[in-house]
Amino acid sequence: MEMRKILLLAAVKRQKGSIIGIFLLVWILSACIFSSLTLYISGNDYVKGEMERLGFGELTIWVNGEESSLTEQIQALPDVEKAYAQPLVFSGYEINGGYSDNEGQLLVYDGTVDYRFLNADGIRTAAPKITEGTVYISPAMQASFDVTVGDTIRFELSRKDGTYSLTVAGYFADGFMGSSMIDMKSFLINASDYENMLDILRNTKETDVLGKCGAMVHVFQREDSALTAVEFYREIQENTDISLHTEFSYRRESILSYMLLLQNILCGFLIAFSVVLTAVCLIVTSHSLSSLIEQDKKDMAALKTIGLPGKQIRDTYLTAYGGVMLAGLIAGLFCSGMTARMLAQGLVSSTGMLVVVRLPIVPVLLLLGLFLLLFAAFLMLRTRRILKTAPVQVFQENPGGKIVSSKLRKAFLEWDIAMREIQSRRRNYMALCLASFVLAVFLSVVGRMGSWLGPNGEGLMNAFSVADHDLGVQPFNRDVPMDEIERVINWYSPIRETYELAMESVTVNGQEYEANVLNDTEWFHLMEGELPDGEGILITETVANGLELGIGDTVLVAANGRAQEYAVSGIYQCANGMGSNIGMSMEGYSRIGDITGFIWCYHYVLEDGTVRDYAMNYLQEHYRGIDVHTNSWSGLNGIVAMMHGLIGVIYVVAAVFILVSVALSTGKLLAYEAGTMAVYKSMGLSTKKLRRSFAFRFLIVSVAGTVVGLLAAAFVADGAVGMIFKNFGIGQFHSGFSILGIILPLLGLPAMFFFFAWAFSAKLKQVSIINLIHENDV
Amino acid sequence: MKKMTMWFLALLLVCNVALLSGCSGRTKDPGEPPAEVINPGQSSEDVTPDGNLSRDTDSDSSSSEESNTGNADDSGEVLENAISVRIGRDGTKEWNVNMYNNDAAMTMLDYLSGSALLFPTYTYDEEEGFVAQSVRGNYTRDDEQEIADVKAGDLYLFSGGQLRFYFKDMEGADITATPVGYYTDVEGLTEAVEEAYESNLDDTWGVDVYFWITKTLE
Repeated sequence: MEMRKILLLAAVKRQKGSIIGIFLLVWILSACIFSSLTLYISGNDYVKGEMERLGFGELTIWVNGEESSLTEQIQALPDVEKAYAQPLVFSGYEINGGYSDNEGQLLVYDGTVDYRFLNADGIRTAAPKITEGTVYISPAMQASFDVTVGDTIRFELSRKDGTYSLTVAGYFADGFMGSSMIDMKSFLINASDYENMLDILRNTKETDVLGKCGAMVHVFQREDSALTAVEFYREIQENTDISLHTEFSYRRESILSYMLLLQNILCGFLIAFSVVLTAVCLIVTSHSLSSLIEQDKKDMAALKTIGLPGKQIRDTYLTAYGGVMLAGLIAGLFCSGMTARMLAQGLVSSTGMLVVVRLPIVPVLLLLGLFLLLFAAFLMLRTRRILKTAPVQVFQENPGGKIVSSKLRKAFLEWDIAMREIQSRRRNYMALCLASFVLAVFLSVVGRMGSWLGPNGEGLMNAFSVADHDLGVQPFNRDVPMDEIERVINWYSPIRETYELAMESVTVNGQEYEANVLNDTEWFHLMEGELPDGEGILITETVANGLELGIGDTVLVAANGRAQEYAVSGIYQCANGMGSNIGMSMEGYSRIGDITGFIWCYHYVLEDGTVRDYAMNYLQEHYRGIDVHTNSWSGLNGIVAMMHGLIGVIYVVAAVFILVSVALSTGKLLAYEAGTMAVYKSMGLSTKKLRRSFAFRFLIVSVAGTVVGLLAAAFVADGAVGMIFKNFGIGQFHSGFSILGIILPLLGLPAMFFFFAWAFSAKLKQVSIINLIHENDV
Repeated sequence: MKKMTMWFLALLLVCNVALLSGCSGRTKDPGEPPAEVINPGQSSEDVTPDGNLSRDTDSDSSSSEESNTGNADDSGEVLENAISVRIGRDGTKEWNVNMYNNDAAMTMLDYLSGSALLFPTYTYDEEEGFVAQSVRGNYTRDDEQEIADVKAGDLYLFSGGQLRFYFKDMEGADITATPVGYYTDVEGLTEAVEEAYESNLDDTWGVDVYFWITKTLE
């Protein structure tokens, strides 16, 4: 026992740097994986709990009009457990010069629904008494409208003197509309303001009215009901008057997935990063272990000769490395709660609520066990050599690596020495090459994702919109000078492409959806199948799952009192209306709808999309009778900033990884090569040249690893990222050439390997001919 | 060595910050477009903020005056059988239409495809002999002409975007419009339109005559 202790202490002392490095790596890995797991599970549980607490039905239908009888009709259905209505006012609004894309829903706060109130950081505060003239909003609106307490929100209820202004008094956690992924936002107001608004709506001429009263009808299905979700919805539609008043409807699962979309994307990012970290961790550990075993071979042989069993020697190493890894895992686990809380705090402006983070004990223990098993198996595998090493064999081995005979040219002395050493210790450098390969693949994938995301989140916007565009202008009457408007847009940036989009309400097999009609179907984000002609439609995966449809199925699409049969020609991607939409060609829609009305929005793709906001602001200020929008949605800036931030963090962590890997490798290599270096020095080579030569080795192997890694990424990145993104509602991912995805890893990785190796090779200053004498003595 | 490592880390962080700030950089406000962009009559050129000549999107060009002479037949090259038309919602006979190779006709063709488009028209003028409907699109008036007599089967685009299809010969019509095309076969055309109008009197949308239009031009 005493002998093992001495051995253990000696091993730890000798590999202090490596052990600290491995501890740091496992710590980061552990913090990363456990915090993402914690956030994922806590977020899901919390939002689900909030939705239930706030009374969101299994199905919630937003209706217009004051139709109290609807609830009674629904309640009377045999499969309905209960149904209740939450009255509201729909209204467009303007904050700090920015107009809402969608109508907000104004709700009276009277304490019957237990809303949670928050401060600007998302921390819960006491429930206030909402006074007349004030409004409480979701914190997610801070990012989209730069709104803060004290700002005024102008609700546009009617064209003539119908603007109702309220002052923001604070924030509340909106359990089912709070996310910045959901365009429609809830507002909590005082009962008398609500009544005033209703008065304006009731006393305004039909032609001037802009807002409308309505309700959220929350419907709960009986537990013993045998109906599927689609059948349940159909039963409600067919047996009540709800279809005459429906604005839109969502199932609980749809809202939940949209509330958590950004959080899940973030967790996906972190989990993918953890997988790479695990691989790098194992490479570095293997590297350090083999170096230690190599160094200790002679001691091991001596110990074996005096009778110490190989198993006991192996246990010493297992204890040292296993202990460090376990410590790293535990330390990371302790930090994960705090990290998850920080992430949840950062997500407040996106999810609209501060998720209460709780460590999920069972999943955490399972994952911890899995990692322990993985590390134990890996260490057992890598220390097998200790058992096999025979004392005689060790004493006969040449410790100096493979003998390589190659010419050293005076002009390329540093380079030639580097090449000779790489060939001599090929195995050691292979590990570095592998590390740079893994990092290159990962950084390339991350870079490609960054490029796809774009400076303003274009990738995300295009994935979630019907079709790519920078600016959209919809004229509402013939007096709108579209030619002049195009000249203005063209002044801001030349127009590259133009097409037209109409968004019309239709029913598909009796269920209400929004039809996205394009005059040029090539712009649809097709994922599977074919673009629709006059007799086909595209559906989203949400619709496909909801209506249990597939490509080739025939559906009945109806609108404006007309119905026609269409074939499902393909699946496309559009998260508008949370995926509850279909795609049609203009020819297809013409069979059931009038294409000559003012339903068309002119979409423009600009040469320079960054000026779109300036163009939009100008058009909004100078032209009447048009709706102008960019390809954006509320809160997008917050999401994009967070994604960019995350990419930045990933780059920094990758740099730290390189630093640690290089530190471990240089320690090991310099220990091996102390004698060789002393010989070079005695031959007259300066420390400066030796350091450069040493750094060159890292440059050479990292360039090789990076180039192969980038080639591999070019083949697999789009497919792999596409597969991950598909789980988060983004069906298409295409990345072309990008500085972030190709040039940065290609130049950055080898440069960092080179510079870190050069920095760590400062030890060479201490190497002298004495080392050579010492080496020979051993 | 520690100093050196710290220096590199700092450099790396600076690079990252620079990279990220580049990612979310906001373009400088280009200001507001000058008066000549809003009203091109004030200047001969539209100039973008960086001084480049912008794309010509002018539909109110004074150059229209230069081409206000001549007949429809003088419009240059003709795109043979560019579209195929069925008259009436239940119409089955395909009528071939040649289109003129001018900007207005090409803009209209851009809206069409190989799938049949159901096109409703809300104006039926038996006395003037045409069916009309306003159409979308940004049209130039470069090819506008003064035409004295029109023939059955002629298609004209009027300023304001009204598309007229004459189903009767109208002598002394004296119109100013851009010729966009003509039916190749006019035998029975008048009757087909009148029949389609009669059969559509109870249309729930109030449409006078429907047309199924298919682009046949490759």
